[in-house]
Amino acid sequence: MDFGTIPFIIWFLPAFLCIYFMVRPYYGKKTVLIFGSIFFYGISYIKWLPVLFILTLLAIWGTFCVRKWGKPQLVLWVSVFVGILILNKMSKHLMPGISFFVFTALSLLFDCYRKQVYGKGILDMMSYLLFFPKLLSGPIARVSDMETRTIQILGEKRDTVLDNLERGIVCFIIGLGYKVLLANQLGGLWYQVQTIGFASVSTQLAWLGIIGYSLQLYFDFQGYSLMAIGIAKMLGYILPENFDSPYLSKSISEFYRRWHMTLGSWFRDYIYIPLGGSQKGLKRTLFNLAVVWVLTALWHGMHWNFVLWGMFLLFWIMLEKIGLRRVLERIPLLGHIYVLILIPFSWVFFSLNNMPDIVQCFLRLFGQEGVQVAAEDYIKYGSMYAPFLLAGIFFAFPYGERWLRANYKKGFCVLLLLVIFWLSVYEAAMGAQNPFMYFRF
Amino acid sequence: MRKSKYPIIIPLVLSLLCVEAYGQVVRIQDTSAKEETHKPGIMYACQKIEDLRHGKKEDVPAWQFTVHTESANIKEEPERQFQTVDQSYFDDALFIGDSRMVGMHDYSGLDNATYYAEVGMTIFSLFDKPVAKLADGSMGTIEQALQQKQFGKIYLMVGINELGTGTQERFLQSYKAAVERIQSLQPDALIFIQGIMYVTEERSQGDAYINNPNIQVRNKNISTLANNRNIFYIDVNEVYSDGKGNLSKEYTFDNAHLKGACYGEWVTFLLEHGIVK
Repeated sequence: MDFGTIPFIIWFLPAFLCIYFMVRPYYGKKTVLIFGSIFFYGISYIKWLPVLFILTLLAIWGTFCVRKWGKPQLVLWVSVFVGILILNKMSKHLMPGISFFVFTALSLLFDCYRKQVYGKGILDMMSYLLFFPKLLSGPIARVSDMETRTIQILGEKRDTVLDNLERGIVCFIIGLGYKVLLANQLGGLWYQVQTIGFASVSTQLAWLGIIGYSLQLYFDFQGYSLMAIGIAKMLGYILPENFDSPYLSKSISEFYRRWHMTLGSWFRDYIYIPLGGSQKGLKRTLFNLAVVWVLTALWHGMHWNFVLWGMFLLFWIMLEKIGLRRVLERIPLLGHIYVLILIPFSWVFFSLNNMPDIVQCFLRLFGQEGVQVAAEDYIKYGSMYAPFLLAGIFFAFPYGERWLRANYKKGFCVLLLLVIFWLSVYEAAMGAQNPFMYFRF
Repeated sequence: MRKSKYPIIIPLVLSLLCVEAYGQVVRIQDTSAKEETHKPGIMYACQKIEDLRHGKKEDVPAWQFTVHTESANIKEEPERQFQTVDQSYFDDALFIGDSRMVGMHDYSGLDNATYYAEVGMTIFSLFDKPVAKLADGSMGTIEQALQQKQFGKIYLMVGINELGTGTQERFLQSYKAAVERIQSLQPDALIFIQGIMYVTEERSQGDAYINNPNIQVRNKNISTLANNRNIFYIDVNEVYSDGKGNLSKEYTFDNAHLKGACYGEWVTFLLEHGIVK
């Protein structure tokens, strides 16, 4: 039962909201939140529920130890959680949401050590760790996100509650549309390319394929993030945004400041800056970047294709640090073209986990001769997927989403949102199961 | 008129309630769904709309029982043996079928043959959809096309899409009717019934309908329609099978369709299974 499924939209969410708004603020709501999150996780992954429970208790125990005994305990508990993550990543059965959970727990431990977490009780920490909108796939919120920006006492102020509910619904509908109407449809193109096999697709179709995949990945994850942000908002919490129109970036470094922003800022705050960031000379900066990118790659999975993906990006980011960025900034058009070519290339490593396919894909992208290529395949599939590709490109710019989020009270916008919602529900009801792509991390 | 302060919540909740109520009405009316009370009404409402859009999935086509042409001249035809032929053999060949035949059209390199193929085609929808190019360039049904042009060989490959629809008996019955109908329209053509291509072990084990045991039963049934005089049964699974009755994983990405580069073996198989009158 993920956010894009009918039982979640029609049953779980409305029922949960009703109960949540009926109980009294603070302890009542926190308790409902914790039980709701456990139910949400348990209904899909019942066999992992005990593990989730143990990990939550361990994290809370860890914070008490870190508060009391400081650094040695921090080292111990960080090692424990990193160890759990590595073991889980290496095993055949990956616990859903483990990467996100562990990073949330680590963030809690670090923030406790830095004395940035005050006066948090067990209930607060449990609801922070288990908060179901972000539990499976982020955004990786900090404890401070959940603390300072929380609209703490809901219930009494009816206007605030309803306003949040309304804004949350808007966010949720946009995210749902991204996932169901764009990502799922665009996914068909990349899948088709792989079904034909890279050896037999025309160069044009290979390009269409990676464009389709690049857009699919964005709308899948941004769709999930917006739904998470939307649900949190309905409950009165503000989760951090995860994307800022990344495909409009002019360098790879900028792209990763605008893509999966909560993971990027996690690595920046807890790894890059403590290592010295860019303040200790060029050599040290490059080393720090290498550390961050090796870890980023491994966070995605203990598979060499993620390492390759990370190294590919690291190479360009290092070049940018050395001087390329100055050139790209001077000629913005060049920067855009550079990003729009290299990022889709990097997704080839991200998507394919066997070397022959990766090689074959690049050979076809660069026009090397294929086997039994149907010369006009790109016309066939291009026309099939054109509406989704065009809509995808349009929504890769921020204007559409920004307009919807800002003008949701206008009649036309309301109508559009309702159409998006019902089309998505219809597609979700009739379509095949399409799990979120980032659920495997 | 005073503007609503919360314009989304009200229409959203109202529309949700309306659609849910409509879905419940559909559920109550639809006797087959009475047992399933665990689905939201909205699912039934969406299904109803889907049915209205595409017509309810029927497993018995209207044409099926209207044609009962006895196979003509069977007794006068001698039994024939397969032999190896060259590519010009396909000049007067027609391939009819589902996505596997669409793949054949796109990637086999057999450009001299004719194809009436469509993704999702079933034995039940064989004569219903406009999948064939007619003499005037427009698209018509296979029946219309077969009335216009005569072929020497007709290859059939359907059966994977309807594994979850109807019974084995009904499938065989429909297949038999289709073959008879083609024969009545193309009395001189050799008809090649191709066994349904397997899916991979992974797909087979994870799918209640589209699995190889089901395919094997249906293949066995349709193979009985062959008379080795003018109707033949050939099974390309001989080429692509992993030896355990599954499509070998090396040939496919999606566990059901051949990769573009793998159609060559099929062509070779067909060349080795030619019938010369």
